[in-house]
Amino acid sequence: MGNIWGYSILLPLIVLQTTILHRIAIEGAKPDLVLLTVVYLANKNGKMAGQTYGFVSGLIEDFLSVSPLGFNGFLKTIVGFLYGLTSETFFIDQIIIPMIMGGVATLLKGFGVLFLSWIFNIENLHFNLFSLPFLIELGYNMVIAPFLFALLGLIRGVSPKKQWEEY
Amino acid sequence: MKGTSFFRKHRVGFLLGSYLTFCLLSISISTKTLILRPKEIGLSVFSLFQAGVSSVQRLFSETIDSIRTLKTLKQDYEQVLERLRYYEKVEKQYSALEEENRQLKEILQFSQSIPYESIPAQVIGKDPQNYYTTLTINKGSLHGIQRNMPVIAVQGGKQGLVGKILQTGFNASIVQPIYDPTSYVAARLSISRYEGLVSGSTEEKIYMYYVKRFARMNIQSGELIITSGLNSIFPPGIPIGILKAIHAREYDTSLLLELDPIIDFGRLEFVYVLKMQRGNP
Repeated sequence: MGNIWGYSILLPLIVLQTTILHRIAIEGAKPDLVLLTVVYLANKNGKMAGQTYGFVSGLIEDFLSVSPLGFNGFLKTIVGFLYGLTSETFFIDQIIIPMIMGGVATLLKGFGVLFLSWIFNIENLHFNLFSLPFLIELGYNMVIAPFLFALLGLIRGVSPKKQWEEY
Repeated sequence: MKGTSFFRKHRVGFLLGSYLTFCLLSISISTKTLILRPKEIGLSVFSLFQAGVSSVQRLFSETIDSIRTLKTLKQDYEQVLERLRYYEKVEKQYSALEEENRQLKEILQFSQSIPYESIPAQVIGKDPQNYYTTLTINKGSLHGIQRNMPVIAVQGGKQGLVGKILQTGFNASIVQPIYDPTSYVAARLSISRYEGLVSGSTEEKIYMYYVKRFARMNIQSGELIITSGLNSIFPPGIPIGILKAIHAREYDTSLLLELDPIIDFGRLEFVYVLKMQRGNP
């Protein structure tokens, strides 16, 4: 179900996402730090914790967004669960794997948005998988993922205890 | 016992199912535009964090701005002195013009009283995701803000339209800006008086649609575009933007006008929500 460290990281990141991050937006696209953090936490802690981190962070984003309640919650729960499945299945290097993980998560989110907008008539949503802003977000997330993962790796509490004991 | 062990064995699946069911039910209720109390409560609670971070950010940027301001203060002082001399001359002409203006207004039976009051608010955040363009302000239903109220701002002494209220919490509201592709404002050209519909686009540009094709000869770049007041949301006469370019496509029966908005949304900090006495749904 996750631990206090994970939620203590996610909440400030959500607030940063809505207040300061638009200053570095290119063509209106900013990186999704919350998504990348959910990916990292899920990969380190497994599917149970991953899906809960995704559900909680997505729901908080929904509260702060005009999106229908549950929209981001759904997307991030799926991402959290899928990345939880990858826990302890492969070695994460410092650059390439985090970039791939960030890129795949962004694409998953993109397909999820398309899926939900296809099922529900969601007001005010304007999303195109091939639009410039989405491609910029994809690139942004891929570039930022290695740095963010390295930073998160410095925080002992976000990974299960046994991983630390191995070192 | 058997049931309990089955649940334990599949608890990840049960939890995932519960989360997703909750999300889907919630989306389906929300998209039928029911007013959800949990959404309002959530917006109110978490917007407090936004307000906090926004204040800290503003504190830092204001400190840096103050240092910059001090550097240019002396230079500005000289310029202000020069301006003061100029305004002394202008003031002499002002009284005469004011009287003339008052008389003209009386003749035209122009109403001098604004039929709505305004609620000042501060922009505290933007949407966390890239596929929404909304802004969050620090005033909500507790301050009398309601859905669909028009939002304006003043920048550099100029008043301009920002958008409308899309959603309210107790102490925060979400504003849909005019550059949102799903925003539509009934507008008109201030001089030639042709009407159209102003809307945003996915490239974050603002266009005026459905302007009659024969208007081509009577309009030119630089003309001010204002709200026409023809829909019930926005009052008439609020400046929206300046006409930047005219696109006359051969296959189209109407013109497409590109605007430069009056408001620079990148610098938007404070807005005014108009408490419309008429037109509220």
